[in-house]
Amino acid sequence: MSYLLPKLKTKKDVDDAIKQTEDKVLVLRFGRSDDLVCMQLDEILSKTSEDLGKMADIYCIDADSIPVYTQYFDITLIPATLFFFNGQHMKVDYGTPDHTKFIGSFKTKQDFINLVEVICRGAMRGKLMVTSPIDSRNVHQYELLYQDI
Amino acid sequence: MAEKMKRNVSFAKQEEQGDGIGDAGLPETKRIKTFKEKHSLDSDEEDKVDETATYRMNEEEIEGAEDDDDGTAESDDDIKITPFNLKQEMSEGYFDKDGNYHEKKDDDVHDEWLENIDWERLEEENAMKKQAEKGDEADDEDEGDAKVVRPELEVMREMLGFMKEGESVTKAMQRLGGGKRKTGSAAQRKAKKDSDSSSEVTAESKADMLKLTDLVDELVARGQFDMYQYTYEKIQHKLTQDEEAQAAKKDAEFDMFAEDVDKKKLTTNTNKQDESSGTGKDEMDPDKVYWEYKWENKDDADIYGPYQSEQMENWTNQDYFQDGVWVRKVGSGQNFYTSKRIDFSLYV
Repeated sequence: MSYLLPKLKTKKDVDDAIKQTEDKVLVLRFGRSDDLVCMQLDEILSKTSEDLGKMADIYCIDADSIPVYTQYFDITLIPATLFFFNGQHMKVDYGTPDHTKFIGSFKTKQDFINLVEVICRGAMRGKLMVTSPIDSRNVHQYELLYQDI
Repeated sequence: MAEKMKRNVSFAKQEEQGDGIGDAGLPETKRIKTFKEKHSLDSDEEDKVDETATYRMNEEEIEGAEDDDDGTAESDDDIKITPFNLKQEMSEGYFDKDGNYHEKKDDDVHDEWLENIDWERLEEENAMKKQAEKGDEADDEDEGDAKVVRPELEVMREMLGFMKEGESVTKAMQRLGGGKRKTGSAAQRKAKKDSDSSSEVTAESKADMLKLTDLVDELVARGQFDMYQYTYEKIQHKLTQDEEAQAAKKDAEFDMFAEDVDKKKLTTNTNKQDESSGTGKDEMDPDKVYWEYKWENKDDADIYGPYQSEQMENWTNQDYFQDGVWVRKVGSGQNFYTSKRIDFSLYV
């Protein structure tokens, strides 16, 4: 389904997307288009992208094509979904160890729509971190392994 | 001993007169005040007789007491004494059987500060405030952001003059104020050397910084608390947004019923929703989010609502939903979410 979503292929594309998205939530999906979970996520993203058109811009990024950003955002698990607002990375408390990105697919479209709405509302109020409304049972749980700790 | 106690009644007298001095001079009727003696440690059976009788004393009983000396000072040797004016006291209250004095409570509570309020002026001010608010609303109807008043945007425009692209207000202030002082003695020494040459520049930029600070202060005072975080781009964006809104408004004024206006109206409406600053007072304002909740995540559980976000937020803050309830937005038809993960203040 990822062919329905715009793709960012180079570092410059990503830079421009982050800088030029104004007053909208920017959703960046890092993943691989042949990954099963990723395809599931892409379907949800592509189906909601029209409804969310006024609130969010959604882009797909191949995690392997832009290693600079993959490393910068510390993408170790895919698919990873990141949120930005006016060039500011939005942190979200999903109930998982990592607040900087959402790992895995959303269970329903509504979950994703609600999450984007909360992020948008929070960002409009100048918050840098919001709490995701998604039930933790519907969030893929994982553990982070820290090197040298 | 008993006579000393009797004098407990007149507060002023008590201290000045030692045991037995001038006791004889007291009028006979003062004995009636023995109810006061209850307070003294030495009260004994003798007093108890009076006690029941003086439950809510009648005025006749004390008629003679202070009739002649209504509040005037009576002299005892060289010491002037202000007698206990029972008459006045009785007019303002009564004594119960325990000898406690109860002031009559006035119907209207007397608060000094309340009397100082100029009610007329207050009303005038309120009326003026209301009018101003109304004016604002009318002004900003199309802008979506009720806070943005015209002069505020002008202030922002002025601020832009002091800022560079990509700078936030804080950064601009830092730059104009000469940047952060480097710590470390080496850096300081170097800075001292440089300061002579740069002093002219800083004097100029300092004035700029003060102006910028004034402008920001003005906006912060009006409730734009995040002003310091605003970047050059964000301010510019706000200004252009305002210009567009103004243009849209003008269009709407020209032909209200044209179709393209409807489109514009739609977009402004969604803007409003995004910024969630609807200010209507009707039931079920479409710009507001309403919630319904149930206590258990079961299909047949009773659903309560709709309630406004403010109400839900209050309940959450008051720990009414301590264990979390299942909530959803009214009209969404979606499934229920646990209230623990929802920040209702975002929807207010």
